[in-house]
Amino acid sequence: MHIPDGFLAPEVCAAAGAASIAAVGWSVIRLRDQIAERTVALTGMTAAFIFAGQMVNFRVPIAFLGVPAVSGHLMGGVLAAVLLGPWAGCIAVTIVVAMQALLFSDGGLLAMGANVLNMAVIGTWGGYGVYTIVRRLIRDRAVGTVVGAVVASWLTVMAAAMLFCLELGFSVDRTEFDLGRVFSMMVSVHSLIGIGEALITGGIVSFALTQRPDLLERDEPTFRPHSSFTQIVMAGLVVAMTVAAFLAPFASSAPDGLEAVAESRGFIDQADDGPGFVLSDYAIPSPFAGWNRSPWWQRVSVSLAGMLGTLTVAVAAFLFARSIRSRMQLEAESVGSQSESRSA
Amino acid sequence: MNEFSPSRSNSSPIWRVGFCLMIIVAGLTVPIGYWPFHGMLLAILWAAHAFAETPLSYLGRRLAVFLPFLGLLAISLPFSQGFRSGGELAAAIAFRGLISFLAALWLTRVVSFDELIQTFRQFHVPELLLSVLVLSYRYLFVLWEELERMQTARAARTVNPRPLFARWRLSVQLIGMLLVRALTRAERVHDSMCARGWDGRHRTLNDIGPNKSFHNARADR
Repeated sequence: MHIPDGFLAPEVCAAAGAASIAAVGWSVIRLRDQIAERTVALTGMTAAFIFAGQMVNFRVPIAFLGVPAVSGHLMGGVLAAVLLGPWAGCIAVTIVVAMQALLFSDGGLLAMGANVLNMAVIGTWGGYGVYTIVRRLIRDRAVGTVVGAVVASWLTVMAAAMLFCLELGFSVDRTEFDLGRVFSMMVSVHSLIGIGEALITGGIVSFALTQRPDLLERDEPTFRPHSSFTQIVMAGLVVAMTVAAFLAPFASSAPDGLEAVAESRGFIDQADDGPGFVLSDYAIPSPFAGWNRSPWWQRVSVSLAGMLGTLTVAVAAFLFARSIRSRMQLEAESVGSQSESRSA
Repeated sequence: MNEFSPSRSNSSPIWRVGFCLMIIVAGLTVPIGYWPFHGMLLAILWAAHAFAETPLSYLGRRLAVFLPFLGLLAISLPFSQGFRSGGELAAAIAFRGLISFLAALWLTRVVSFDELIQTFRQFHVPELLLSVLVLSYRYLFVLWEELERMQTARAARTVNPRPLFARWRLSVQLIGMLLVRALTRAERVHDSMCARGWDGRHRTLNDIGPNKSFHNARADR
């Protein structure tokens, strides 16, 4: 995600730099207003932690894409915001980006403004906004913290990818490349990267909650949702299912970037479809052989596949959150029983 | 730490930073097709690295990581056109990226961290940002070593090869434990800073008058 120099036009670098200076300056002003005694040490240590944490690589299993071994690492924008709040978090990630560019030549010097905007500002401000909303909607604090961090992480990775496409669009002559296709490629790849970031961030936050919950303690939000948690979750699920049911069938049927190249180069037939899964090609096979060629069944099957996928993700997220909550309750009970036995 | 210790130079760090930025801006603004000019910039950078006594292994290791990444980014543009056009643009991006990367590498060789802080201070960067930057740099290497020790301990206690999920879980726990240790250390660092009369301003040995000559004599040794 670090943009090197040479990719963005100087005027785009200047505009992104100005926006970053304004955002980081605002963070500094807000932090000065509400600075606690230990904030400087905590922010510096968090920046160093994110930098060191990025050294741990996670192997990403995408061998099915033809790439033998790819590894990803933590980006840390949402994690910094969860630990420090949006202002100190923005400064911490800005410091990480600046150190990577100035001391290790990772990311361009002129493109540093764009990198700060994409990772530090969007990652912490935007991430903290999403995290706060999700956390307020879920009554259980631990579950809300983890689910909020997971959702925010995925969304910030997607937002950063989209912002990069926008910056690239302003930098390069449109006749030289297809912005729409680059956009779809970036969003597709980063939707997978975002899942990795979300899992890593969620895992780290849940680990910190079980080990040292005091590190993540913040004031209870004063906002009280008017609806119950169950109603909100159900409403969100209904919206997601509606999108999957009614919009998925109208998605573009054009091949994606890789398929287009494979077709133009004539090696598309070499693709091995692998074992036939239930939702291969985002469609459900019909119970009757004659229906599979029918256009209306193809649309209905895409809708059903989208709804089934949405429901699976929702159930998986719910089970993940439940397991964290039960683990925390067990920890709390064991700590309580130990303190009771000591007092006895 | 050798590769983080820059070569000594008598010129002001502002000139060195300015030279580096000038090279990058020149590389980015000169239109595509003026290849001799870009070649000249590469030659200047090569000479600059030679004067900075940059080891070839240092350059090679970093270029080995950077060039594939740059190549993938550059090739994505003609790829988006089905390789019908965009080849010259991809070459320009690769060339400009290489020039900028070599210039930034040169800067890391010739400007020390303390000089960088002094330069930022001359440009009136807020002291709060500088304090956080100094603390991050100071503890980055401490946490790095701690992470390496934890990884070694983990490798000694676990069996390879492990399933992918188990490896992910272990890595997440490793980072989580590093987070807990880092934040616990932050509390101790803050207490020790307060005990030593920290007033919110970072000082280097060069800022301290009586020690300045001693520090310079030590550097000349």
